[in-house]
This record gives sequence, structure tokens and C-alpha cells, in this order.
Amino acid sequence: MTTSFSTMAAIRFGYGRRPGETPPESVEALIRQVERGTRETCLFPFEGIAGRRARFSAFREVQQAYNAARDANMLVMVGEQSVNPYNIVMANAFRRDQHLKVRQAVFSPNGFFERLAAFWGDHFAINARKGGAMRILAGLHEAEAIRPNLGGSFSDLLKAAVLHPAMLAYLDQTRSIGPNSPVGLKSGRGLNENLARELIELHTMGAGSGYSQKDVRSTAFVLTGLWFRNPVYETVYRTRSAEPGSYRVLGKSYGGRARQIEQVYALLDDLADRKETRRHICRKLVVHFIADDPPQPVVDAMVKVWGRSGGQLVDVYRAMLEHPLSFEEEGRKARQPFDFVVAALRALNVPAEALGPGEDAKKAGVRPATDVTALQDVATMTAAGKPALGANPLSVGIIDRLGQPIWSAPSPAGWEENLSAWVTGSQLTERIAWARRLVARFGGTDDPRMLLEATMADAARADTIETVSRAPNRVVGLAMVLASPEFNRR
Amino acid sequence: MTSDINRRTFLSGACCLAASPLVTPVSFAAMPGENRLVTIVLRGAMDGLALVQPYGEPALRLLRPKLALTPEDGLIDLDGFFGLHPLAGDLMPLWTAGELSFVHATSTPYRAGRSHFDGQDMLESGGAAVKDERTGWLNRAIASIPRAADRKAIDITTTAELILSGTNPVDVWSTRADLALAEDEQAFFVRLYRNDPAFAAAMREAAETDMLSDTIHGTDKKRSAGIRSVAKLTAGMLSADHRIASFSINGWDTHLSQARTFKRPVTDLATAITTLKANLSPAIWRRTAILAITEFGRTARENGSEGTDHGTGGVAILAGGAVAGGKVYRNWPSLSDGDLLDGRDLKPTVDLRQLAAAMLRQQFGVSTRDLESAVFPGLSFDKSGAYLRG
Repeated sequence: MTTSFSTMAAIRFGYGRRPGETPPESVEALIRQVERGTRETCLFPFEGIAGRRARFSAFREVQQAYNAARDANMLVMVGEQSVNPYNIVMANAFRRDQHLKVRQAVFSPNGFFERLAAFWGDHFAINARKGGAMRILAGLHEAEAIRPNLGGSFSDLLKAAVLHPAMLAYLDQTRSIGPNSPVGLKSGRGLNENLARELIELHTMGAGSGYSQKDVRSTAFVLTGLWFRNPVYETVYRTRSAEPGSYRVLGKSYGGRARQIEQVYALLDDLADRKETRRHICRKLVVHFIADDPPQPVVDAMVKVWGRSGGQLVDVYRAMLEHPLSFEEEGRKARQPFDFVVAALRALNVPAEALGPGEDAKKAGVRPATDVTALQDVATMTAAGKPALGANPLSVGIIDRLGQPIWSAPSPAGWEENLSAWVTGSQLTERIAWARRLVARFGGTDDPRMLLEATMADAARADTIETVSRAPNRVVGLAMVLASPEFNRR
Repeated sequence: MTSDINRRTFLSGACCLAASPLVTPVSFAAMPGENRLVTIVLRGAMDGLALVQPYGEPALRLLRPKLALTPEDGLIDLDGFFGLHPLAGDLMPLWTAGELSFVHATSTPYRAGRSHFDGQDMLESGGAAVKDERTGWLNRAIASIPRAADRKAIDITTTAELILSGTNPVDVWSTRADLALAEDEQAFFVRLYRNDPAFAAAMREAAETDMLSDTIHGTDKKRSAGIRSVAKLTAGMLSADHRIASFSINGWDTHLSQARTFKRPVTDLATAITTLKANLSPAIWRRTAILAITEFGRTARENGSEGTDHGTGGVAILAGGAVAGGKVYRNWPSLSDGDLLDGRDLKPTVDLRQLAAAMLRQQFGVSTRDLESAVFPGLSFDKSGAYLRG
């Protein structure tokens, strides 16, 4: 017995079925989702991309005002604790963006595109907990660097994702100074290999694929000069911190007496085009979408198409989707926490109004944390002087709790992929507990068997149908649907 | 493992260890006998030259003009050549009591790649090359421990770790389970998972975990998050049935402003060790060995942003009442230009696997044959008794 194309497409290549939504019936339908997705505006950052950029200076003003107050010993105190308005506006803005990320995934009709956005967001992982302005850059990184570019060529996506200020900040690139550049000579500062290493090891060729330490080091020299200014957050090339000279990376020379950003582009384009990169990325896509132990023929077919199409990602995705092995043996992957939560919210048709940031604001006697009018809507705090917007336990809260906080991967390598990492006693007890609370509130009067049919269709296992049918009560029956092995696999 | 799901499995907050970004799961295994072994995986590449600084070597100050410390700056002298970073000062009472030592210029056989992920893979799998072994060395060791017929084991929080993963069952400790189901309802969940081995196993783990956490922590639902809770929990498990525990401390990848970024993980490490001691009875502490290891060291030279980049040789930490303490073990390679590996890293002179093997031999009597074939395939175990007590 094999599961139908549309069920597999919705579960393996999307965020699961939503009652009332037509699941994709063909490869072309999935590809159209990608094309639509790249053109559409996403819900985050909450003020829009232009809106966020227009408010950078306002965030900066709050920071400066806070620093000035701190230096003058004039901080606002709540009890023993001083109030940090900068932290409050950053935390509130980040919380808003995270909640909108969940809503985006739940309500988008372009499931495959949304899953790809998550894949590439993880491939080019950043971590908002790094501090500084990362919290207002994290959502922006996905919105302006990842999503519009994931249907084009890999080299364009690579440049957009790696050269974005969020990545430069996350991997310390703005700290990497050519030791013999004017800035280096004056300040005594020097090279930082962090971005160069991850660029080769994670973003392009993959660990152990044949490059040397010297290639990493030379790459770090080529990358010097990449820079952005707070609060503009636009990447520029700052020649006076760029290391002069030429550097050989994998047998090719980059740089020259006059250093320019084009030399960085050339290096990124060459890395994007390497055979090792094709293999690494194609394999990773298959590992993410199909199986921890990926079927090699699918990877090979994608690598071949990559070569022919010059790295046009839509063609690579199509090669994966058209391969018969991509639609066999369902359920080999675990749904990771974000995936699980979004699928459950879709299955129950939970309304958008229920998925906003927590309501600490209303309960706690809110007051403004700053006078900057441009930031009014996020510059609120509770009576205790804490950020007023909390994590909604139905969306961001449970995702945090399940150990996969949005835009906060534990390392540049992103999240764990293996099923064994996510199918553990703690995951299961947390998922069961949350499923129970969710169905108690949004399960309505549905028959558990109907929910199983609506959300899993022909992927429901006979023994699950039987167990759910015999549930001692409706809430347990509905919770079992969401906690079932097949709902937690894809 | 029992397949009965105890009602406690589902009691609210039975296990409420908050997920901390810097602390990863704890795994446990139960064993016969009284000896204990705790491994702490320091993820991100701990800078051994910062933790235990060879201040007696003049080259250090040249390589690290901003980062190197001297006793005048607060570095705590250990043996006239090495000094301990002042942020780890809480460990000094253990040093004085002969319950702490360091192994310097050590590393796994991993060379040249300097990738965290491959490095950790080798550190935890115990292989001679990347991806040689697919299971954790500590897990394989369980099968080699004499009289360990009735084995059971456990892992804390959300993701399982490689070091104690493998074919021998290991318990995974869960976070804050939060659920109250009637007895009849529980039976349905057990049934729901019975035909899916991965989920059925996860369900059993959940059961074991909560039963144990109830026993150890009673109804205390609001334990603070972080390393202190992890160490306390570990001490609790070691005081009951479990003899092997493993957890991680993250945050060692100090590319930037190391004087600042080193502080949190090193404080966590000292806290973990001192909390373990404080929460184990003196009798159990005497039978406990703690081994803290990292995937590789960091560059001998500081980088351009007052940090250090990925290197090779580093430091391992041995602590506990069962270790031969008060010593910095080394076959010191020197930091002079010509002696650095690839012109940049502390050259490793001690295979970290020897140290791990010595601990398994001392604490659990694992045979040389098993150490060399099953636990660390290809290792030629050094039987000289270095690192071993008396």
C-alpha cells in the first residue's frame, strides 16, 4: 500500500494538510508554490521590510538614550532593578516577528515554499541570542535575504544570505580586519576566521570535502573589508579595513592591490559553483525532506540537474520532486518542533487571532519604556519593568519549550536533523501535554476519527485508526491524533 | 526497562529542568558496583591554553599579548610552570585536596579539519577518523563492563547526545513534563505507540524519567534552570542507581573578545564540578571520577579580535575523589615557532582516548581487549597506569 501523491506532498514537502485547503496534486503545483512564495511579501518584520529599515534609527536612539542615562546614573528603577528600555524594545520587536513567523507558516497556502524557507534559514543559520541588534535583524535576514532568493540561482542566494548584515554580525565578520590594512595597522586588530570557515564548511563545500586550513585562512583575508554601519545595516565594502594583496583559495587567486567587493563576489560565485557544494547542498536537501539516510539516486539526479542548469534552485527542487524515490516510504523523518506545532495548528484550523504575542501587556499595567514615538507599539513594559510581549504558549511558547526557538539555532550548523534527536521521552511528554491543551481549546466537537481523516488522510495507520476510535473520551482521542507516530513523522 | 507506564509519568512538572541554551541533555546508565564516571562534553572547542596557561613558557606572551596572564594578573599558580585561569578559581580547593588534575596538549586523533561537528563526532564516537564509529564510546563501554548484565540507562532534555548513544539502552532525562492523565487514558497512549519502536522507546524513557525524578526531587517544581540543576540532578542520579552520567557545557567557541566570552562557560564548568561535589556524599565522591573533554583546542596565537580560532591540542580535566589529583599531566611540546602544529596550534602529545580508556579501566574494570577492540577500536591502550590513582 502506498500513500497518495497529494498526502505525501502535503506532509513530506509541506506543513501538513489543513481542512478546507486543496493539497498539491502534482509536482508543478509544488513548484508554483515556490514561484508564488518568492514574490509574496511575508508577515515579518512586523512593520514590513521598509518599515523596519525606517525605524533602525529610532531603535538606535533608544539605545543611546539608555546609555546616556546609565552613564549619568539616571536609570529608571523598578524596585531594585533598573529598567533597560533598549532591551525592552528589542525583545518586544523580536517576539512580534517570531509570532508572525509562525502565522506565516500556518496560513500560507505555499507549504513547500515555507518549508524551503525554513530549510534555507537553517542552512544559513543565525542566532538572535548573539546580542546586539541581532533581534531586529533576524526576521529581516529571512524576509529580505532568504525568501525572495530561494527560487533563483544558488549563487545569488548565497551572496544575499552571507553578505547580509545579520550574518556578518553573527559570524564576527565586522570584527575581522586586514592586519595590514589602514585600520589594522592603526588599531592593531586583525583577522577573525569565523565567517570564512563556516562559509566553506557549512554554507558551500561541506566539512571534510577537500579544502585546507590555508584555503580558510585565505578566504578570511579575501572577506576583510565587509562591513555595515549601525543603524543603517546595509552591507558596504570598507577598503580601509581590507587586507591588501591577492590570496589563493582552492587554486584560484582573489584580491589585488586595490581591494573591491567584486573580489568577494567572485569568490562566493566560485564556491557556489563547485562540485563539492552541489553534492553537499543536494544531499542536505534530501536529508531534510526525505530521510536521515538519503537515497543516493535522488541526490545524484539533483546534482546532475544543478550542473546543467547552472545552479537554478527551482530546477534542483524539481529534480528531487520528480524522482520516484522521493515519494516512497513515508514517515522516515521526525517532524521537528516548529514543523509539528505548525502542522497541529493547521490541522485544527486555529484562528490567527489566537496566535499573537502573549498578553502580559494587558494584564500587567503597561507603560511606555521610552518616549521615542516611532517605537510606541513595541516600547511597552510591564509594571515590573520587563518586556510586555511574552511568548504565546500556543505558538512561540511551545516551540521554545520543545527546544527549537525561532531564529535561535544553537550553532551555525543549525538544528539537529536526526529522528533520534527529536523522538525522545521529553519531546513526547511535552507534545502530548500541549496537544491536549490545544484540542481542549480548539478541538470543537469534532469526532477524533474525522480529524485523523482530515489531517492524515491515507497516511493514517490502521492501528492508529483503531486506537483513536476507541479513545476513552473525545479530548484524548483528538490529542492522540496529534501525538500519533504518523503525525510526528513526515 | 519496564514497559509499565506509571501514573507518575504524567504528573505535572514531575521533571522541570528548564531547557537552558548552554546546557544540553544528561544521559545516565546504571551499573553494578560503587564507582561512578561523569563525562562533561565541552562543546565549541575549549581553549586549554587559556584555562591552564603555561606561563613558564616565554613564547606564550608573544603569541598572546592580550590574552596571556601571569600570576601578577591573577593567574593561579599550579606547579610553577602552569597556572589556572582565575575564573576557575572555585576549583582550587579540589586541586589542593588532590581531587583535580589536568592533562595538557591532548586531543583526539582528529587533525587539520578543525570542524566543530566532525571534531565532536570523533570526540564522542571515539573513532580513529571522522565517521568511523556511529555510536558513542561511552555507550559501547557499557557492554564491556563486567557484571553489567542488568543494564539500564537515561538522557535529559530535548535531544540525545552521541557520546552515550548506541545499541545499549540509555535513559534520556526529560524536561518539565506537564501532563495529568487518568490511568485509563495513559494506557491508550502506550497503545498508540506500541507498533512504532522509536516512539515506544521514547514513551518508556518518559516513564522511567519521571519516576526517578519524583524519587529524587520530590515535588519541587520550581528548580532553577541551568548548570547547577543539571549537576544536582546528576548527583541525585549517581546517588541512586546510576553509575554513568554525561552532559554538555556549550559556549566555548571564543573567536571574539575571549576575556569576556570565556567567562560564562568556564564559570559553568567550575559550578558543575563544585555542585557535583557538594551534592554527593563523601563516600560516593571518593568513588567518582569526572572527565571533562572538548573536541579540540584553539590557536596558540590570539586572533585579530582578541579571541582565538579553531586549533588542535588542548586540555582535559580530571576531577573527583577517585582521580589522582594535584597534577598537570603532560609531555609538553613547547610553544616555540617550530614546535607548533601547522605553525599555529599546540601540538597534541597525548591521545585523549588513552585518558578515557584509563578512566573506564579504573572505574569499571573494562578489559584491555575490550578497550582496544570495542570501545576505542584501533587504540593501543597504554597500560603504564598514567592518570590512574595509586
